[in-house]
Amino acid sequence: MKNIIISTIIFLSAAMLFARGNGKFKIDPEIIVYSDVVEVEDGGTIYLFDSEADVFISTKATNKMSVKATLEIEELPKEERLKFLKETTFEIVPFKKGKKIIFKTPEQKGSSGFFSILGLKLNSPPSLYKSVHILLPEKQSIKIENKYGDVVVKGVNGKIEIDNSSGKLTLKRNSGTALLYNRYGDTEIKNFKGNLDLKSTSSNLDLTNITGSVKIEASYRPIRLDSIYGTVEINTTSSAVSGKNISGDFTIENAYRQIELEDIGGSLKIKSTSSELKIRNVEKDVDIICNYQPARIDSVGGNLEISGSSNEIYARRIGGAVRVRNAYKPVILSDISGTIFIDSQSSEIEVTNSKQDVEIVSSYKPIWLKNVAGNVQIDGNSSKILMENIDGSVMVNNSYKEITGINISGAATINGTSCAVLLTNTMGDINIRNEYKSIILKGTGGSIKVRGNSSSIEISGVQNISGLEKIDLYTTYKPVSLQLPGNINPKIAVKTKYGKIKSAFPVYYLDEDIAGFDDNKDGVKVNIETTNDISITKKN
Amino acid sequence: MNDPIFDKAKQLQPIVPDDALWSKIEDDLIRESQQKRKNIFQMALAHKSWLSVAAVLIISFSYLAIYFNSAVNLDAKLLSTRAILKVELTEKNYMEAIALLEKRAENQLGQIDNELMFLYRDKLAMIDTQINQCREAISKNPGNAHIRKYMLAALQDKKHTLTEIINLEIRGDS
Amino acid sequence: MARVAITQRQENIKPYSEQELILQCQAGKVAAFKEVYNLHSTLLYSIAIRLLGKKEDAEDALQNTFSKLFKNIGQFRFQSKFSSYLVRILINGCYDIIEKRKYDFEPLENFELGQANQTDLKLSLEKAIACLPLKMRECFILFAVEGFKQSEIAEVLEISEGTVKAHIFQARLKLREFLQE
Repeated sequence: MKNIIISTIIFLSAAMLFARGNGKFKIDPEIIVYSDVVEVEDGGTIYLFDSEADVFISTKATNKMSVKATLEIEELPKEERLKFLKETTFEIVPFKKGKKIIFKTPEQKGSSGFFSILGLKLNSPPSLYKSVHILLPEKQSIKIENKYGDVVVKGVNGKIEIDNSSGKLTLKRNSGTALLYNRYGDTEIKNFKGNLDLKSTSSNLDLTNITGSVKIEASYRPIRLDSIYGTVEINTTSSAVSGKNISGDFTIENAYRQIELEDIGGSLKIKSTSSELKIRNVEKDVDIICNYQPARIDSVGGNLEISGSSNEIYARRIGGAVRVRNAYKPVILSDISGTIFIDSQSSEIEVTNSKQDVEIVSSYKPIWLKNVAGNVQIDGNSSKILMENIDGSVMVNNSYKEITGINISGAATINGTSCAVLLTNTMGDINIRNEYKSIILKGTGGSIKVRGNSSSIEISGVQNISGLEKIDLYTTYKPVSLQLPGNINPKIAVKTKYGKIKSAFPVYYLDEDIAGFDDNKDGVKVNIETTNDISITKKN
Repeated sequence: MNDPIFDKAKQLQPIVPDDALWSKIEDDLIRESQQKRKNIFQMALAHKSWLSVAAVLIISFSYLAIYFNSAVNLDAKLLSTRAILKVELTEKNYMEAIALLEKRAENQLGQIDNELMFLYRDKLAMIDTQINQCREAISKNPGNAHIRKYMLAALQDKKHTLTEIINLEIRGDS
Repeated sequence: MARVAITQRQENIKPYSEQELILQCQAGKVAAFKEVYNLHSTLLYSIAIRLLGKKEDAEDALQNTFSKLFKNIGQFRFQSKFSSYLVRILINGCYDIIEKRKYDFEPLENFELGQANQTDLKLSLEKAIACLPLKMRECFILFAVEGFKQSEIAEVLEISEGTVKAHIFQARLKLREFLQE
């Protein structure tokens, strides 16, 4: 019996709680509509301030503006309701060169006090929702300050000034100029003719089909641009930016977030702290300052300049000159029509298909050049160097790592410190200074001058050599081996201190005075000096 | 005690247990917890007079659970009180998650480079401003779905940002 | 007529203080134990692995610690530091493991470190600490590595502060000796 009594008491308590609640828990909102129609003059401005409402603006061919304001309010006791509605204002008044719409509900106070501390909102203000629909003539300007509501503007031709907070901002088919500031709400602009100046805080921005210049100052949310027929200037703290079909110049300042752009008709300037870059099809120059993240650039009509540090850089199909400053990460270039200058410490460098001169300053990491139509100049340090199919001349300074050249049409000048040198098919004059490591030349077509120190010299495949050319080889401690074509009549002078001389051609022995060699005689002049063996063979 | 041994000892790094360890411990605790409940149930059986009380309580809580767990339509212009309660519970959950994440994020912010640190601090300050503004607006208009939606979005944004900070790779570690 | 809402307001919700967290643990909430784990597991695990030398043993010790904490948290009366309370449970657990497996420490070769980037010098200090006798090791780890006060160590290990001092002094001498070798 005792149990039944206890159970009943608890059950009844719970039931009372819900019963009490249900009387109030259910909202049966009341909707009150205000409306007015006024005449407006072309070129005037419509103002709406502090609206805290959803605002919808559209246009029609008329000289009148009609406004419908809706107030949706939760069920209130009769007296409170009357008081609230009495204090609510809706009116349209003349203001500056236009009209001001006033739609105000009484100032409400937040709940506080003892019950609020307990978590019970006993005196909370009534909940309400407002909206304003404005239909106006096309040639009007608008100025709106709103918060906690969406703003939609369609078909207006004039100056559009909107400052909105915590609501979505949508502009469609408008023209004129727009000054927009949106905080904490997405912004979508489509089919706008005129210049846009957009400031946003934490808004996703989506702009499509804008005929005019676009200026954006944004913070953290993504920016998406599509079909902008004008210049674009973006300054963002950390927004990812994606854009395509931009006809004018494009400037971006950004930090950290990805930038992905495609089909830019003008030039492109990017200044970023650490954004990953993906760029495709820029008609004019590209100028990039960026660090740490990879930069991928494909197809630029003008020059490309990248100043980075620790970026992986991939660039291809560049119509103009390329200048790269970088460090530590690879630089990979291909199909470059202009000159190339790369200054990159500890970066692996790869250049293929360059139509003009290539100049590289680098260290420690490999350098690989393939198919260069111009001259090559490399200032390396401990870099393994491989050059293939170079139409111009080659000038290389390097140390410790090997230098390999294959098919060099011009001259080759190499200044190495302890570099193994292997040149195959070098048609121009060869001038080499080196120490300690071997020098091997296979297939040569011009004069050869080698100054070695403890470097062995091995030369074969000498061709197209005439009396105008000269072969001048000097080294110490290591042997010299030279293979000459059988159909020439060389004038050979040799000198060795400790080695043997073996020659298929007649030679002059110049033990003391090398200057005694007669330069004026006809035939290819060959001069060899070492302290080791000398071998001269004939290729039949 | 300026002994180099103490200096070196202070520099010894803390050793972090494997991530999987917590799940083992959690299994233990859940088992213990179930055991405790089993014991309580056995005690209750021994005192049958309370069973009916428990039954009423269970029914009441089930009602409350259903009441709170029904879906909230944020597309409505004004929220019902039930929806407000549901939204406030969600907000509370976010706040709790944020409080936990904040401690870890604060440590991480001390280790990243200054520029990035200021960037994230600015962002968090901006989100806090938004949360405070929404909170003030809610106190004046508690059932407005639009404001509630933006409040939740800001809380979600803060949680996401803190998680992003915690997951940042610290440059120069390698 | 006014609206009734029964939830707490946003501004009243604050991150848990340690006291609130313990109260939540005392209410049996597993999530609160997880937070305790997040806050203290690195300290506990560092001590356990330096005392026991084996990863599996250290994990067992931590698991036992939380199991005991779950059973006994109701008896915690906020009279000592919570971290000291946890370390006391941990060290008692470590004694059990040592007693059960009948060895003191398996130090050098099997020593497993969570971090790989410590210097050789620090590694050799780790090894040297591992060679200390158990009590000395406990006192040194808590004092020099984890930064406990000597009074706290005395409370945790249930020995006098003088004994703690003596152990730390002896540990220092021995370590110096080991490191010079």
